[in-house]
Amino acid sequence: MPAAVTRRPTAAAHLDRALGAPLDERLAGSFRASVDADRQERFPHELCQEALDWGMAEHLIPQEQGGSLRSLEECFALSRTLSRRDLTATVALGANLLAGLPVWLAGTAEQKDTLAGLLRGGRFLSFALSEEEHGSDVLETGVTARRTASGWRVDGTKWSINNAGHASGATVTARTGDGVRGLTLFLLTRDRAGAGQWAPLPKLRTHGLRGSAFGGIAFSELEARDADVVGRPGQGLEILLHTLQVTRVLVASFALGALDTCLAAAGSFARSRRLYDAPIAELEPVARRLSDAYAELQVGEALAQAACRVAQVRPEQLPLMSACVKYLVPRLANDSIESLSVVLGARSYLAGGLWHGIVEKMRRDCAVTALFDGSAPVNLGVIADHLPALAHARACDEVDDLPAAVFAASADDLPWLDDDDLELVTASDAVHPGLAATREALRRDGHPVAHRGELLDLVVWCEAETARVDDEVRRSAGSAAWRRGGAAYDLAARYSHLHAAAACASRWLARREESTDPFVTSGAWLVLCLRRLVGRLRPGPAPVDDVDRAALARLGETPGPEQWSDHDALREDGGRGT
Amino acid sequence: MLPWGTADDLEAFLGDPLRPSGPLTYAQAVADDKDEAFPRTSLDALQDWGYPAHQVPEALGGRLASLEELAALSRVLARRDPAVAVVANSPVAAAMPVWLGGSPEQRDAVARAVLDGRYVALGLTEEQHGADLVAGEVTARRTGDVYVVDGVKWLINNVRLARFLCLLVREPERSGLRSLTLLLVDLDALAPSSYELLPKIRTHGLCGADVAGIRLRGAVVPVSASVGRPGRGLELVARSLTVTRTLVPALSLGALETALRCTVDFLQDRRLYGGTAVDIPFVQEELAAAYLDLTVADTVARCCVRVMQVLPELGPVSSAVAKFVVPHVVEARMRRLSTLLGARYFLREGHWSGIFEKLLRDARLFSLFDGSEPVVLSALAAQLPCLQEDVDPRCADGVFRGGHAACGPLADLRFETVADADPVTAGLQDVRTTLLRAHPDDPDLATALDLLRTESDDLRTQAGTGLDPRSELGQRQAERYARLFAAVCVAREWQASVDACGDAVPVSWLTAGLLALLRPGERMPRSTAEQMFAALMIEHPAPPARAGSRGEGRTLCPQQ
Repeated sequence: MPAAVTRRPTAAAHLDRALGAPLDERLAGSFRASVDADRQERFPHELCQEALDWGMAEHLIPQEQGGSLRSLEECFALSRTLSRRDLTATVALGANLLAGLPVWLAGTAEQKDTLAGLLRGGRFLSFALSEEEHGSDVLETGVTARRTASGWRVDGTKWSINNAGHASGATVTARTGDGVRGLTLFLLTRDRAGAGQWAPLPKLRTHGLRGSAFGGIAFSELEARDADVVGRPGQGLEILLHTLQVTRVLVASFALGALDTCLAAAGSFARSRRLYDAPIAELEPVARRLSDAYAELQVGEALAQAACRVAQVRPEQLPLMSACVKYLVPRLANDSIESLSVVLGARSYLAGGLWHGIVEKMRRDCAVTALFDGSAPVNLGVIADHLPALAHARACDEVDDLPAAVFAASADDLPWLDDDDLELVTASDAVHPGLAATREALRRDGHPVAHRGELLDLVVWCEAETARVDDEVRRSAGSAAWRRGGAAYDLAARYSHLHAAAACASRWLARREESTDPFVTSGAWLVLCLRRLVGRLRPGPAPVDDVDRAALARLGETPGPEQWSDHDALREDGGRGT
Repeated sequence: MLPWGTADDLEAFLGDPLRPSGPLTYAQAVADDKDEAFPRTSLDALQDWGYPAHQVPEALGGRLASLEELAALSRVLARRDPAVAVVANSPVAAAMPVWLGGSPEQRDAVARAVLDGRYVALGLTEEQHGADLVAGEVTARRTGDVYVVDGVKWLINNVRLARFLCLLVREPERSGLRSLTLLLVDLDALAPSSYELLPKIRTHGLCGADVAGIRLRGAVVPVSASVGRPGRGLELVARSLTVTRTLVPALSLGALETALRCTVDFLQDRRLYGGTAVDIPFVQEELAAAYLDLTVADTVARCCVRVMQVLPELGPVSSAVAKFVVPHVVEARMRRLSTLLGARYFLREGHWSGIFEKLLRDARLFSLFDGSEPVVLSALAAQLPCLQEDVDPRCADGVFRGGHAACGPLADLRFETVADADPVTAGLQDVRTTLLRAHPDDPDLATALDLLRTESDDLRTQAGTGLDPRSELGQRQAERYARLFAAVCVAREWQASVDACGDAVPVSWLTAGLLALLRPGERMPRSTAEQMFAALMIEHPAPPARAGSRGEGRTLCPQQ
């Protein structure tokens, strides 16, 4: 899609320039530094410090608190930019935002000041939700907060949480009663804890994000004040569910950043590696994998960018859309990286070598992002729960619409998040009508769209597939076991693809008129995206054709890491040219 | 009685893999991996048990009499530590050209070295050329009765520990496909100044394995070192890979088996949403599908090993099928299992010492070994015309019978680098008829068998169209062929076990198995999933009834 008309350097481009060339191994933001820290299971302090020195903390603090955080899209771009170099550092800083969001959404002025102070001081925060025995089963939370004469006393152990070892503060989910109103959130700081009341457990040794400060915190008779309660007592679950809707969108930035790097590395390797007297990029199966990965990157970006904006302008769409983003984007990125590993062959498992071995690290790290803020089964469960209502709304033609800003090339000055506007359920899928709109536009089109025929076929197939999903949902959703069975999850997974197809179609429709890029105006970009999504639902042989070759040419022109620090090469969308 | 006495004996010797320490325990495997250490403790224990003898054919004083038994032994090791399995089996893999085509003197010398606990390495690849062996730049110039060898071979397992190195070299005076010669280099006899062992290459899987390279500078090797005829190196390597590709699946299966047990063990104790995790229908279905994959992949692997023994001329097809299907299915399944483990999957400690994440990394390498997925699929694409040859399917009956067969001396295996006909797949029509007759009222089975027939007809029609094996379509057709061949193996083996012991797993499992191969990712019927889940739970009971690790693999024929 066309780049924004104004080419002002974005915050992400500034950050990228500050971090320097990732292939310059002297720099903290280099692949070399990332791989070395990982191998030594060491936290990437230097890179975090560079990002903080650049001013990252301000981007984690909303504008109303005097910070620069005003747009999730910008936050996403910053996170994606840093993720291209090192997910370990990004995820640690991302945990600060995750831990901070409940306070920004529902905290008191005093809590917001405390939080802003910690962030500006370069401190780390922990989102203390999970526990060793309960995993995603939040209602079983074992950490308790009991009433005392002067406030609360917190006891119990949080586990498998990020920044555990070095957190100066934490948003802690504690049980204060029974049932869905039995959880309360606290903003607790370590400096207020007495001796032995806040004990970090040893770092967990992990397979991905090896340098992370993953671990646990044991709270023992920790005194908390009433003023430390975020929102109201008993409101914890609701605030958590609101927070996770937002962060589930942002998690996609880790996955896309990782895929950016892996695709650039694989593309570079494929153009230089020669086998059988030619560059392997000319081998059709290699070209297929590169083109597919490029397409999956485009799809992920289209869906995630729309979700960032939806959070701010149509928050009632976020419960569904955030689950679709969180399930699908890490999935696309992980599948792509696995596929690119086949292109890299033995290089995919050598430590060092191509770009200091960053691809292998990214592969492990990116796989972990699928677990964050609700694993695939959790998000598929959320989508499955929505399906009956979505089908009903479509059948009754009661589907909401979306403002143009969601898919436009640029959208400035959107209203900031407000906890009061966030919902727990989406009643109808307002993204999905983008398919019908695209079909209609193509049918009565005055624009010459070279790929019109194929586009129509693809869009019509997606609509028909939606009808099949809706039928299946109507047939089976009544039975009790359905909700927790694999068939429901499969339908949810299929639906997430169709939702993404609609997001891509809407983006194309909204932007093609102002575009002069033939890849966009010909429809090739949308063909690429839809083919990939449809191809995942209906696998079949796919010989490389002109659309793929155009995609590969664009991949070849995408600025590589040697140019990432050159902000002229980076556009609003992070340099991907759409 | 279990089918593999020797494998059971090894399993019993190694003991409980969950012990806190000791050779071939999970704890040891994880510790060696973390230190990137050569797994000395575990290998020493294997030496004590006599493992090296199983790397040497019986005729040469060893105990290798059956590829099927060797696969079973490898699997016992891979269940505990795939890195140890790779190192312990590297002598047979690297010496395969010698077993197949070496002179009596060469065979004796290598056999003695292996029985003495020495290693053998196979130097094929070069940094710039990877799978493109014909482009290799290591040269051997013939002067009188010696070769002078120069160049660098790269990514060689155990080269730094080896006594013998099978080295693929180019003879500059020869050209084309007949320009490569395989030399058996005795590193003990090579002038130390004429070669240099390069540093260990650090890898992200099989971290303990010693993978490195060798630089040769004017190394002098006698002409008699040629294994087989000079100029026939590529052919010999292709034939060796045919055998070793058949053996790699056992390693993948071992890894999946432990990954599944480890997952089940965790989920049985995991309390979620008011019950245990294994009460959740989705979890049950995923575990059932994993169990099905293991059963199917195991059957395919076994059948392909037996092809090598009783129908070696089909080896070029069956080895590619096994090498593609089994690692592919196993890797995909392990990724799905990791979803069930949640945060546990990526912990390098805790539950079962954190073996799962090591298995995940190690198992990924098996699709690269001895020919990566694209290489193997290209080889198979070139074999598609086999489908058009008329051949008596009964030629392959010996493959499907549940029993155990010795393979005779490896040197006597008669096969070429390409096969002419495919009597395994040719049996589809007969087995389909038999199955439909025995199960006339089973629409699911009929649908699966129809799908199988359609695939077969489609592929046969298109087999003669001269596809480029390296094109996308060529690769996809090869994948379809692999899945078809594998599915016919599963059907014929199921029928053979009914014929042999009058019993087999339920026919609904067969249907599910065929569909798992032909329509990967499609969910099996809920009722079949429930049956398979129940069977898995019987095999892996919840504590405290849980026994230690057992030695048997899964088969379509019930254990007696």
